[in-house]
Amino acid sequence: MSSKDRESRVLLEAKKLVKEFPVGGSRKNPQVVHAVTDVNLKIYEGETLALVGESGCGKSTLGRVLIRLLASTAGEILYQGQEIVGMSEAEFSRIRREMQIIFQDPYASLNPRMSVGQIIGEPLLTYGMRDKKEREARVRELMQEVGIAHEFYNRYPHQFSGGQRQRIGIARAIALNPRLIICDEPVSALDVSIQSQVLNLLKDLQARYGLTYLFISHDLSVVKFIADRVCVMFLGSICEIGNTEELYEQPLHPYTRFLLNAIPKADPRLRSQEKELLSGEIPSPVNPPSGCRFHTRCPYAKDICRQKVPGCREVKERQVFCHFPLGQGE
Amino acid sequence: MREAMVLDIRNLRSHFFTAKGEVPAVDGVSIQVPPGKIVGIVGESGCGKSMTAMSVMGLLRYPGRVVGGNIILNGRDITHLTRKELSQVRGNEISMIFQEPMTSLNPVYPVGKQVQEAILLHQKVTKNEARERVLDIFQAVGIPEPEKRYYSYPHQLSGGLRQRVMIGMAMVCRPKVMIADEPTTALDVTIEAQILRLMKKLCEEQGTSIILITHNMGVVAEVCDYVYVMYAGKVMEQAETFALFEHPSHPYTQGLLKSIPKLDEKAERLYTIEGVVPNLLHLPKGCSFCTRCDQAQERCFVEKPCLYEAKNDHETDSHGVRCFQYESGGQLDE
Repeated sequence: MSSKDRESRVLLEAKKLVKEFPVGGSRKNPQVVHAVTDVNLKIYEGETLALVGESGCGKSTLGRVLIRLLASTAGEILYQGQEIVGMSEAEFSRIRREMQIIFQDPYASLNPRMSVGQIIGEPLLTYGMRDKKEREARVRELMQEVGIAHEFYNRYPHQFSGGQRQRIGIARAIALNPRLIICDEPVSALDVSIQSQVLNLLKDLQARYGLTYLFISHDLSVVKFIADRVCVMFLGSICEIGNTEELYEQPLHPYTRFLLNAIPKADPRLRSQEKELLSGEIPSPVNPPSGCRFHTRCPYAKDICRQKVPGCREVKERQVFCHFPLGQGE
Repeated sequence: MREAMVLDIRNLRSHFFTAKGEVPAVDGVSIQVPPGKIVGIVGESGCGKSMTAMSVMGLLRYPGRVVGGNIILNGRDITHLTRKELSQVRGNEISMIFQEPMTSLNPVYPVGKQVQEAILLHQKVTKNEARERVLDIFQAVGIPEPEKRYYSYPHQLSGGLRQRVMIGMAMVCRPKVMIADEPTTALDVTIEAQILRLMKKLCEEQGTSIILITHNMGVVAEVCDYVYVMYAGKVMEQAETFALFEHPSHPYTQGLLKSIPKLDEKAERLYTIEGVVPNLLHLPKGCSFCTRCDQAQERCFVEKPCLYEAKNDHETDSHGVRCFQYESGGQLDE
């Protein structure tokens, strides 16, 4: 695909997006958590873009800011070229139905007092499907779609297992035929044997409806399976964006490499290779380090990393935010 | 062989007596822990892996109760000890760390004091000596600035540091066995790798055996010497780690390993084990895995399989599999 073709297929774009949360301090000296800092990101139609990073790196916040579940502090968000940050709620509601979200915790994200039929039917009702019969028919159809017997229409969430609940969450998300779905750690709370069922389901639905996924996860092996492109985040800023295969094959940012190294592989033969581990912990997002945010943990950090925020470097189709990308000379 | 084991769990059965009936959460589990080795118990939620650990520690609460079997620690049967006797064993000869380090530390005491308490309870030392020992163990588990951290409260520490404190507390009396229940599940991958390495190092240095309970096959492959795969309260397969990953023999183990997304291959679809874990109140009559098994025969639905020997030629340790396919290998003594 030529890059021009690709540009015409940008579904959602973030420009210099910033999200800060106030956390007290005094009036003169307010303290904020820098959750997302100057993020530029494009999501192309029909792809799965994964956001990966450790807890507290801002990946979930970014996902929520992108679909306006949280208000951004600064920056632009363009949906199909249209600015959505400043839009009124009335105007935005037309676009909102095209963006849905699947949450991590299938126990907390379904209302225990609503039956499955009501849960999946709620978005339909909100967006004008008043007729009860019509709605019920659509809900039953959706339930089949995600692999839940439609006889369970009147059951309540507590009567289902974690995997089935996640399927209900998925049915709710696809009810309005959205174009973009934010999947916020959709399989982290599930057991391995159930996790693979849900991942396959997500892939099938994508193929059937041409869905675009923003897949937020900390599990790099799951991401390898599902994502076309990967965006690695550390402490609110992006480290590296690239095609999944290439990024796993040859990480350019030191953080990506450490992250890949740290995953316990399900093969005991790989353990003998003495691997390099990242020392230290994630710095506080209230007082992020100057310059490159990764420099306090990076073994290759030089003076410039402490002083200057690295700009974006394009290496082929990849973007890396590092002064000294791995394997690029220097 | 058996005498040499630090911890020998023989045919342990723990049931829960609920209003709906008797739930066999641990149903005849035998696990042997050799000195200085890491033994993994792996399985999905509800398979009884944590309940096995709680039974060993004597921590089962009503309505749960150990109804059969023996737990032999260092040649001594600890199954039926009184509370008082048990509290001398716990934290001293056998200790445990939990998944959520925040909820297992007391929020209103400094962490140093909490670790010190463990020493004062079990050993005749002065407070000052105990404090020195705490600082030493903090150093050993890689807590930076131990002097300062001694007075920190749990909420002032990150998840990784809290788990280090827990490991320190569990190791400070130099127990023979440490049970770690999902010690890294709540942590990030880079921190997880640090903690796993730390546990392995301590195990080698102090000769402590570790029972590592996890659902993550990667963690097992990374650190364990032996593995027990559990399903619905029973051990389905037990083997030396390399043997298990090279020749997974039980259909359940095979399915589990196949359904994990691999880093080094790009699959179009993932293998799935159909269905869900059965309700322990209504287990199938035969093999508990039969309803989900793609290799199930008629017999599997009516008869319960025992643990059979499935050793390959080049395997030195016994490799037990609870599946009729391996019946020819002969029954393993449980």
